[in-house]
Amino acid sequence: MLKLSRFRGGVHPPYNKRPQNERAIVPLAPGDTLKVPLSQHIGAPCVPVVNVGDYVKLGQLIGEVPEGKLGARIHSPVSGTVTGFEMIPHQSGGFCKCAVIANDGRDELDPSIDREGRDVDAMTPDEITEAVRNAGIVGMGGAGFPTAVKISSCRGKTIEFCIANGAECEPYLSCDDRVMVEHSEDVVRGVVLLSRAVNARVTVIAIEKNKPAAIKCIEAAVASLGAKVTVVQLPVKYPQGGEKQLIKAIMNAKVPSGKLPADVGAAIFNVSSCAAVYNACRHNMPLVTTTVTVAGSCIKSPENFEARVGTPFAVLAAACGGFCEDPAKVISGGPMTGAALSTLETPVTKTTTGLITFTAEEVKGEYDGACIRCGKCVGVCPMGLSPFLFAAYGEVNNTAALTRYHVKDCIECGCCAYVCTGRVPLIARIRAGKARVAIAEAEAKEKAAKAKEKEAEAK
Amino acid sequence: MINDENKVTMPEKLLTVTLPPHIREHENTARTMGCVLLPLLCVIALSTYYYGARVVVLTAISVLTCVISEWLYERLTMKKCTIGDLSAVVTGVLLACTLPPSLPVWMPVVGGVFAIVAVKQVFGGIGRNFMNPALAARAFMMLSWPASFSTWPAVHTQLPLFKSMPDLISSATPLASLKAGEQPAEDLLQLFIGERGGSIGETAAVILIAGGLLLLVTRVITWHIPAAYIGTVALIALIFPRVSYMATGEYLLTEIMSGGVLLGAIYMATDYSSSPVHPVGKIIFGVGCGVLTMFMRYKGSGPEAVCFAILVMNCFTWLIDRATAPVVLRDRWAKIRAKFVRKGAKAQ
Repeated sequence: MLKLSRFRGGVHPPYNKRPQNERAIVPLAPGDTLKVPLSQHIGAPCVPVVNVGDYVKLGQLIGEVPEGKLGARIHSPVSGTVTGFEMIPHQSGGFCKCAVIANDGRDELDPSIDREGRDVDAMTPDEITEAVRNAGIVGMGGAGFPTAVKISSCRGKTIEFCIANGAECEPYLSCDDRVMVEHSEDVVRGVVLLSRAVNARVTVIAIEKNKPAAIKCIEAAVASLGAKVTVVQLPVKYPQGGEKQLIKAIMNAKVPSGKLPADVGAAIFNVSSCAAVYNACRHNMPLVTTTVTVAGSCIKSPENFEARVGTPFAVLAAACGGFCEDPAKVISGGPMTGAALSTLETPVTKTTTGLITFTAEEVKGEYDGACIRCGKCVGVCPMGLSPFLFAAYGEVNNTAALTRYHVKDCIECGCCAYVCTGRVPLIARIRAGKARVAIAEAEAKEKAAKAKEKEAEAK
Repeated sequence: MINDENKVTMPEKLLTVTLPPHIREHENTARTMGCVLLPLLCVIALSTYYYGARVVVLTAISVLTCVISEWLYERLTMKKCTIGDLSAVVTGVLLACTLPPSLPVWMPVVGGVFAIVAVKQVFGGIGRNFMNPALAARAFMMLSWPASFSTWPAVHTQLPLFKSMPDLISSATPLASLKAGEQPAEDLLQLFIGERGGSIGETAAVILIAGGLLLLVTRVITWHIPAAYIGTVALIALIFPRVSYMATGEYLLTEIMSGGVLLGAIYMATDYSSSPVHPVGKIIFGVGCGVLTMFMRYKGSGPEAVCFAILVMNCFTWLIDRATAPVVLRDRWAKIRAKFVRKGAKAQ
């Protein structure tokens, strides 16, 4: 049994996971028109490989990663005709190019998809990585880092632990919980495959203690499959599911500033990603669906849906029986780190985990104050930073001080803004601060390059 | 250029868009200030019992001055009005707590304006003052009218409501007795329930301590500053007692409960804006306050020291904060260990 340690700081927000954590995942019928964003991951947007008027099948490649760039492939979530490309609002804010597909409702599968399934036990690490790359799998916890790239970055490094992250510490969300309950065998098989791909010594599935059903199901699946996987029950604390916090809890190691988890011997994958990896390896099934929790005080009956990528959020809300009260704020993802949407026409992407709604009453007076230096943010920061300093120095554009206090190490978990007595919009200030530091660094680089040039000229 | 392919569809219905997090604790500045006010009002009430309704008059004038000057300043400089966060009320009550009950009733007006305008607002308002406004105002008044700040009416003197009392006979406060090398007239129990001369807020140790516990439980303050401050005072009193005729324990408790140590350590030194934020810094700050207090009590010209000790330490706050900022998820000992391991490898 692994000995767990605790990470510093953190908060205990009201989790509000009921009743959606007891609602089974419902496959959501895709609408008539789907708008599939060509950027659903960290990295460069994909280049479309289909033309307007083309007939595409479910699982057919429609977006290819630009040569030499970071990204993940995009596939068609339905069968139908590509009617055009549009710029529409994206869940990360701003606009994104989307492929508009008119659904013919027949869900004709692409021939590359193998219904029978092949023997995954014989797959080599390279084959697994290739299957993951072809399927366009990304980290489904919200960040959307391309999984194949993560596996490749682990190769050549000594990986001690391969961890399936089922902490799901965000309030409201229950999608990972339900995936672990309903697709527990896929999750276990997926993490075993990933573990083999990165050549890890120990394979762990980490679940927060407030999900007893998921723990039971995963333990049963591990036993029935005879897999060499340890199930770890994590204490309930936000942000337990953060990569660095998970590494601290399980390995009692710290990821140094500017380093990756792989550098300390850890490879972390979301449990939904694990299930997707198994489907990709066994059936060549690309990632075209995601589990989305629809909840919040404006939703009549909270549900978990298996939604196709490209479905507008309005369809998800309507499938729950609509709103019982007009929402003032709609969040994609969890309430601690998710992005507020400007319109319900925004489509679901691979990284969507939830649709959370808030009433006008709940939104009122969110951020309106000044820092009183109470120091609560310092106490809860899981990275050991001083968030109040970022707000103070950001305001006067002191990039030197921002760098000195490691603004770039902030993981933007939102604990500081959650407890802030003065109600300072700390995450907004920190993001602005990070941008300022990036600009200053770029300018300094440019200056140095110019100085070098001059020096060379003088010689 | 937006061509057909890059057509932008605009949202039909407007929703609130802010950056995360979208949920938050139900805590705000006004509630925090309310937690501080509660024990202070109990202190004022007890003081009223000892000295009469004049205490209420002084407090009311002080609070009103602070609130009005904050409102007026923000109005004139066209800033957002912040009197709703109750911080000006707290400053007013704290200022009243540091005043002698016999002070002429017009003086808190000067103090209140000085505290809010010169100490707080000029530096940018709440959270930006580098000194405790109430203490700075008290220091200002004490230097302006030293006579009024050296007259301490005896407890249970019913003072007139508004009239000044130029011929009031001052009673010896416990600190003054200690300074003169005499045994204080009050025993420990009297000190504990506040039956002794002193400022309005220096009355009952029991209320100040109970209020401090309330602030700790509600997490308005942390233990670092009060514990370091009071602990240092106790330690110095233990090692270097200045009187020989009292038992060590009795002397130690007298030093802690007389003068403004409790009021200062729990309510003044913990002022957010003018004290360090990081835990280690808080302890350094508290120890500094304690050392300066005892040094000034022993070697200073007057009996009192808390006010100036805290003000001096206030000036070091940013320096302390900068020196004690925590190390980010970085192994403090990594460098040293790396050296060690390398040496070990060579030895093999």
